[in-house]
Amino acid sequence: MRKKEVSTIINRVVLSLFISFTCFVMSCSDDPEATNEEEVITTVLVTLQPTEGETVTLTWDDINLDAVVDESEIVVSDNLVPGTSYAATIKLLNKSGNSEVNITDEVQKEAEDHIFCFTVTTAGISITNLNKDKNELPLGITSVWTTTSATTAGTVTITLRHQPGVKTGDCPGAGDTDASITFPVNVGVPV
Amino acid sequence: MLHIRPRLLIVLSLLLVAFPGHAQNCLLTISGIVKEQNGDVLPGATVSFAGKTVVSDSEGKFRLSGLCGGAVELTVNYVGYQNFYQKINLQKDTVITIQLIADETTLQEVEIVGNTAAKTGLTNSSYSLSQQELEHFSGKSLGEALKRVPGVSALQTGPAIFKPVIDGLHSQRILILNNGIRQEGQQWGVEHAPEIDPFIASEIKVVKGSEAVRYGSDAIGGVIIVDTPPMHQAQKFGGELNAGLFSNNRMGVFSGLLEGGFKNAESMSWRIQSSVKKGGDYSTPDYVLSNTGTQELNFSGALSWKKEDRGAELYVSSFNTEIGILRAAHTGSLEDFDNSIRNQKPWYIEDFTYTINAPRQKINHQLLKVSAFKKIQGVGTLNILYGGQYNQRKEYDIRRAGRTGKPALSLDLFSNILDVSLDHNLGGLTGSIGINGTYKDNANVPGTGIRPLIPNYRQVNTGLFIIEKYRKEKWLMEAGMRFDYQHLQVLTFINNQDLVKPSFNFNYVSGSAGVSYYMNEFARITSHVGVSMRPPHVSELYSEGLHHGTAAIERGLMNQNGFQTDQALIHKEISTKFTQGFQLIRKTFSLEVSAYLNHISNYVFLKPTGTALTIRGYFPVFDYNQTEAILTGVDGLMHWDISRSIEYAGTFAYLYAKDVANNDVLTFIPPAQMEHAFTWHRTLKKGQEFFITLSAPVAFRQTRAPKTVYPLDVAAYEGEKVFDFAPAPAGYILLNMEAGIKFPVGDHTLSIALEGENLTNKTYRVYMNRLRYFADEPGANFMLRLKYNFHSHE
Repeated sequence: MRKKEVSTIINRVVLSLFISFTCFVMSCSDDPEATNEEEVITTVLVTLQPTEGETVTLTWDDINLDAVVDESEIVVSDNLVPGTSYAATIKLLNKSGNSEVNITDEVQKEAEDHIFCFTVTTAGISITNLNKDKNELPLGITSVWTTTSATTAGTVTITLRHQPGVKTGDCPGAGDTDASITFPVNVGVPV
Repeated sequence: MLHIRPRLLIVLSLLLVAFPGHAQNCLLTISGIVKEQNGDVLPGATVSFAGKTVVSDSEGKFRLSGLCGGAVELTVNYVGYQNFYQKINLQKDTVITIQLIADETTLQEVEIVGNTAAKTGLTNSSYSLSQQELEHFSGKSLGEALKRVPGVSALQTGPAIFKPVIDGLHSQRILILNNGIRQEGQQWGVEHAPEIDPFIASEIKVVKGSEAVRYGSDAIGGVIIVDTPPMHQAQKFGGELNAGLFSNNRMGVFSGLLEGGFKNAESMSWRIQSSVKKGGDYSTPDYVLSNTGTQELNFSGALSWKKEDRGAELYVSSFNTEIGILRAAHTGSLEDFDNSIRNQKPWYIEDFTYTINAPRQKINHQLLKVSAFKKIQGVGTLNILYGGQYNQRKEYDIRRAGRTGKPALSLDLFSNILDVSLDHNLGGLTGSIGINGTYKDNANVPGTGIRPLIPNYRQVNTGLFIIEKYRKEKWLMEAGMRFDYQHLQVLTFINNQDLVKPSFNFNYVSGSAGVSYYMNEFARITSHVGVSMRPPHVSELYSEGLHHGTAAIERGLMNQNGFQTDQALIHKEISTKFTQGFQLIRKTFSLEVSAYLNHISNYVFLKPTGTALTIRGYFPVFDYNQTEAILTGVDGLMHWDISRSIEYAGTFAYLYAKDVANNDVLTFIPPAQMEHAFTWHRTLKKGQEFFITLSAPVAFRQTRAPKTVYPLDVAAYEGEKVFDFAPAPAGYILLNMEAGIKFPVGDHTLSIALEGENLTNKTYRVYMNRLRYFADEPGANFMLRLKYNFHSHE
């Protein structure tokens, strides 16, 4: 009788050990794969197309993919020409994965939840005519940048606000910042 | 998904109430005398029978007249004595002598009360929440209930996420033992609350010193022991139903428990338990805390087989919760963060809703426990325990392009635990020797589209311990020793490209010694010293990236210097804690005070090292660092029966913490706190017990808070000292009131309690709440609790 009980207990122990061993083996996961970052923005490209003359581009490209905005990664192709009107188009890309993803398309699809805000530190540039979403609220993927006749130096900060359910057209308004980048922009050739 | 209608809970609860009535013939009397055990008469005892109450006179005599016939229970109460109950079938005038038994709890008794006593040291400072105390917290989370314990506070993330902090230490420095199994969840995150349903507990004990000797390095800061009620062996069927309604977040909580035996197997018993909870947004006195809803569905079942000298138990539990995080606390950039802090009001306030949107957490925790014991003649008891746990944690963020439905963080932690111990009692020497083994596998579930904050890892731990206690006359001595080995393999990526599999091996030793001197049977002095070691956790070694919850970029100890940190530079944390305690337990007065000094070398903490300009703007960069820290403090509690029906209970805690190496403060250190509570209680007719409690929790301002650096000033901040994004909030006093009645319904018991928290609807903020940057604490909250106990013998 006693022997039987002891063996019952031993059986239980062996069973527990067996279970834990099985779990041990089964749960040994395979090597993980590097995560394909879907959410990040690695590239901001602003194309400024004048009615006539040279196109100017403002670019930030996160070449080393460290998510940090290094000064060397910001490239402004040229100074803006005084007294000119530019059609501006913003393009956001995610180049961190194997294939390039156009983030602007995502923003366009959720136009009612997004807005581009512009902060200009020079009186020489005014940004107007932001394109609109279905609710007739500004979106800003395209806009018009107009320069005055004066020669000025300053910066333009472009901020993409994500405002699901709370967009009113105000800047910065409620919501979160998805992207924010500052480009040095000159009008004319500053002395 | 859970959908509970609070109204249904009320109906169910009301159905349980039934009042018996009876016939009349009312000329009879009961008289008699109340005595002590030694034969002395006892004046002033309350004698109740059939709705009439008298007090015994100076000779201990009493007389109740005008009584009706029938079988009714006579009750006699006197403070400091056990309640006396006797059913009397009154047919004629009756004379009775009642002997009351002194209810004087001596220290020895206090120590052996509860089934947790054997599992921890006796010389360590500890505190137990009894079933009665836990009833006041039913429907609340574990961490919130534990705040009741002096020296324990909670690191909060909004009104629903509470993480226990013991004497200033939390997360991976604290172990939670859930029904004997070490809880293996994602404890590293400050916004990760324990995955435990407090409804399963019959007792919760907090040990405030290191129990690393018995439980390993996770217990360096203390242990929280959550115990389920012991399995009944008698063949009876019974259970318990709980219902709770909460006004502030319109929450309904319902829990039920059933237990019984088997007709043909007397040594077997079973129990099943379940609880459901659904609450919506909380509200401050001025606005709704949008997206702070919560819902929970839990289940547990146990099957036990127990003989005199051997037994086995099977236990399963499932914990499932979904918690919303204040919408306004989601921070895309430091500018947003700065605006939120300066506005003093969340930017997102909507009408009340039960809907939980992103940001939210979804947690599932499954547990399987198999345990067995066998008493071995002349040696002791052999215990074997296996525990398997599967923890899934998903965090959802506000994302673009329909990704909000996709978890931003998804972790699966699978863990196995095997514990074998031999408890022995040889002469005056009692103790335990044992071995533990744990295996953990933590995996990031692919498909989040976001670089994981902590990497995959596999970890094996083995430990060998011995603890001995020796009692002689007025002295109690105990000592313990433990050897541990940990193997850790991390699977991580350098620059999110190249997989590397670094391995770590840690050997470490822990020891503790304590002595208690019993001055008499009511008072004792205790000294305890514990030295324990803890290898850094994976999150401390390999965290990497932007932590949205904290609006900071965090880099683990190994991820600095371009991922090239030398392993030799990683040190084990070593804590040396001295605790000096004094305990006094008298009939109407008890006092417990403990003072401690905890020196931690290689203390792991987050140190600000600069800022990084990201595409979302600037973020502070925090590097994990190791330093030398001191945490010292004192906490205590006092209980005083001012009169037969009025009690006072008070607690206080003060903690001073310092980073000695950098001459700096530490973050997340609770400010000084105290609480005063007055209770008026009375036994009414027929064993009905009534109480009303008025309590006032008081929190002081944290005067040793880190320097304030507002988010927008972070880029310009050049110091090396730790900082906080906002100043510490002012202290506050709250007012709570609870009234309850407990009465028999036939053989069963029904308790009803009504409680009001923050009755003055005060606007305040809590230093230890991480969402204090964004919003106030909830306003007044009224709660209705019902509890119904039933048992039937076969």
